[in-house]
Amino acid sequence: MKMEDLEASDAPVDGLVSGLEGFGYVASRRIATALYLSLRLKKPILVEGAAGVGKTELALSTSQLLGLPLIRMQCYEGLDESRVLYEWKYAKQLLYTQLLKERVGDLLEGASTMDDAMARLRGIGDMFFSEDFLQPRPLLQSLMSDQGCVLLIDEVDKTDEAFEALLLETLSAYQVSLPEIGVIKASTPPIVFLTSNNIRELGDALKRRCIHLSIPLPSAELESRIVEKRLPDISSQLRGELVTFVQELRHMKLRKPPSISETVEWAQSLLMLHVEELGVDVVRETLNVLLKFESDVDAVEAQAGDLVRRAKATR
Amino acid sequence: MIEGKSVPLADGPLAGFLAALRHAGLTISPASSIDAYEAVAAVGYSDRETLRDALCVTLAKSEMDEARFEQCFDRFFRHHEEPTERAAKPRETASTSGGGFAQLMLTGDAVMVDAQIARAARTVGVRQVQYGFQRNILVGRILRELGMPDWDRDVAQLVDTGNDEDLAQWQATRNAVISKVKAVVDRQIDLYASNAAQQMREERLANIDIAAIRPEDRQAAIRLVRKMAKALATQHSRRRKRARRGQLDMRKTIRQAMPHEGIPFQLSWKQQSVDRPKFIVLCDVSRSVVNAAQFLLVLMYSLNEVVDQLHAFAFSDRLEDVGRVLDGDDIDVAIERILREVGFGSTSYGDAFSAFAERYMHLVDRHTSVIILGDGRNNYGDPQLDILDRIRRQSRRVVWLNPEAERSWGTGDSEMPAYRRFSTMARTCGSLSELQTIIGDMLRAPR
Repeated sequence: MKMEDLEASDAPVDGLVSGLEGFGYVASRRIATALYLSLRLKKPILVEGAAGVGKTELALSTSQLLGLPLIRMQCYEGLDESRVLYEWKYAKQLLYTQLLKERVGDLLEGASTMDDAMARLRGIGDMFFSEDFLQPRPLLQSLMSDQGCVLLIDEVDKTDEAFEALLLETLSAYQVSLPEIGVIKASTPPIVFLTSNNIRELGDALKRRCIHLSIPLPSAELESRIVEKRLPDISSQLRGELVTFVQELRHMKLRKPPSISETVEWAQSLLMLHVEELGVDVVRETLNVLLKFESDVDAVEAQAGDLVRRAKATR
Repeated sequence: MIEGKSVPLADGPLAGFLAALRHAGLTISPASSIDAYEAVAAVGYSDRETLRDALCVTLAKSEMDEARFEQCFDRFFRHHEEPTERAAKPRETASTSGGGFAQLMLTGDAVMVDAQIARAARTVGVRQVQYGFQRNILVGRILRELGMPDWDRDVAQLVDTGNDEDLAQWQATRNAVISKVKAVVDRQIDLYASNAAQQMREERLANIDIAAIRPEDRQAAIRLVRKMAKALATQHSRRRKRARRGQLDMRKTIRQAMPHEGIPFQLSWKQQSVDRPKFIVLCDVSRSVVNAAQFLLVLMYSLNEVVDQLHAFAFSDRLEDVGRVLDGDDIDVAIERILREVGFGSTSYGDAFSAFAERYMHLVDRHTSVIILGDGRNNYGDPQLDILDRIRRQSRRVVWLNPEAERSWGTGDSEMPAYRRFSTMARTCGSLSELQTIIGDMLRAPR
C-alpha cells in the first residue's frame, strides 16, 4: 500500500485495518486511527503497553504494509550519540592520513607563505570530515534514506534523559545538526515508532511531539481473531476455549498476566501437541508457556480444574 | 497543516471540548490543540468512534489522561447529542432580547428560544462555573439576561391577562423556559465544575489533620496519597547520575582521542550513579497514631519507583516485620491485617527498639534513612535512648515523625523531647501535605 492510496481513500482507517490484517496484524480501530493520524500529520507515534501486546509487531507490520525498510534501534541505559546518530570512521581517517603524509611534500611544493600552505591544506581537512568518513547510526540512517523508512525506537523508556533530549530535534523537524557537517534534513521523513514499557515516565516534551497510543490487553473477541490470524489451523473449539481461559487468568491477580504473545505461543504449543480441546492435565503441563513466574503458575495450578470447566462452559 | 479540508472553527464544539478536558485535569497546550484540530480535519466529524480515537491519541498523554478523556468525551458529546448548528445559526438575531424574547416564547419557536438561551448563557459566562453551589446564581443571571423581569409586562401587552386560558398557557411556557435554563446550567456544571469540586475536596483532605480524616473519606485519601507518591516519583526518578570530579574515565578518554592520533584533547570524567535511597520505616500502630501510620505506609509503598529498598516494621507492644505482608496483597487488605495482628496494643517504644536492635540491626547501613512514626508516648517505660542513638549513628539519618502538634511533645508520658535529641530530625506530620513535603525532602537530600 502506498501513502497516496491511503490519502485518496474514503475510509483510510478501515483501509489500514484490512491492510495490516493482510500482514498478520489484527488492529483495533484505535490502533489504526492512531497510525493513520501519525502518517497523515507526520508525527511520531508513541506506543505504550504491557510486554507482549504487539507494540514492536505494529511497527514491523507497518513497514511491510507500506513496503518501506525498517530501521530498528534497541534502547538501553547509557545509549549515547555515537551509537545513535553517527561516528567518524576513525580507522579510515587514520589510513588516509598515512597515505597523504607522503604526498604532503608534493602538495606544499611552491607554497611561498604559511597562509598559502594553510589554504592548500584546508581542502584536505574538510575532506576528512565529509560524508565519506561518516558512519551513520540508526537515527541518521533513517533521515538519510531517500524513499523513506520506518524507524523503530524500541523501549525508549530504558534510556536516560540526555537521550530523550537528543530525540527531540530529530522527531519534531526530522533533521539533526552535526557540528562538523551542518544540518542533515530528511528528504522523506521517516515513520517513527517509539515503544515504552512504562519503566520510567517519559518527559512531557517528548510526549507532546508524539501521537500517544496505549495498547491494552485485548478483548476476547479481538484476541480470538488474532489467534485465528496467526494460527489458521487451530480448531475453533480449542481457540474459543483457550481464549476464554486466558481472559479468566487476566482477572486473577497475577504478577505477570499473560499478554497476546503468550496466548499465541500457548496456542502454538497446544497445536503442536495435537490437543483438540482443553483439559486439566494439558493445561497443567503447558502452563509454563503462559506464565513466567513460579508463584503465578502455582496460583493458577490450584484452580486449573475450575478455570478449565468455566472456559468450556462459556462456549 | 492539512490542506484540502477546512480546519474546524476555533469557537466550535471542539473548543468547548478542549476546555472541558482542561477542567477534567488534562494538560492541553496550544500545540496539542492545534494537533487536535488537524486530527479532526483528517478524520472528520462524521463517525463518533473514529473521532473519539483520533482525539484520544492526540490529546491524552498517559493512561490516567486516557481514562479521564473517555469520561469527559462521553459526558461532553452526550450533551451535544442535539445538533450544534441549531444553536449556532441564528446568531444574527442575537440583539432581540427583552420584549422580543417574551414574544418569541409565545410564538413557540423552540429552536429560536434555545438559541437565545444559549446566547445568554454564553454572555454570562457559564463555562467559567466552578462549584455546584453557583447554580442558582447563574440561573438567575441568565434569566435576567433574557429579560425576565420585564416578561410579564411585555406579555400583558400581547395577551389578554384577563383570559384564564391564555394566562395559564403563558405560565406553562414561562416555566418550561425556566426549567430549560436550569438544565443548561446543570449541564455546564456537570462538564466544568465537577473536577473543581474534586480538587477542592482533595485540597481539603491534604491539609486537615490526619486524625480528622473520616472513615468515608479514607479511600479518597488513599487515592490522594498515591497521587502524591506519583508526583514525588516523577520528581525524583530523574538525575541518577552525577559526575565524580577528578577521576578520569580512561576508556572514554582514549576513545575520544582516537581521531587525534591518540592525543587526548578531550577528557572525560567518571560518572557516578546516585543510588536510590533505602528506607526503614518503623510505625507505631497503636490507636493514637494508626491513621498517620497507614498513610505513611501507603505513601512509602507507592514510591517503589524511586526507593531502592524498603523495610517496614509495625509495632505497638511488639515489633513485626510487615514488609512481606505489604508486598503481596492489595494495600487496603494488608493494612487491615497489620492492624489486626500488631495494632491497638499499648505502645512500648523501648521494647520495640530492643526488638529491632536484636533482630534487624544488620539492615541499617550508612545509606539507610530510618523513619520512625509515632507520638513518643511510652507509657512510662524505659525509652531505650541508647538504642536509638546507635541506630542514628549507624544510619544516614533518623527522622522522627510525630502526628501530635509540637506543643504537646513532652506532656504526660511523651518522651518526645528526649527522642528528638537522639534523632537527626523530628517533625510533626499532622496532614497529608506535610507528609508529602517531608518525604520529598528526604528523597532530595544529598548524602
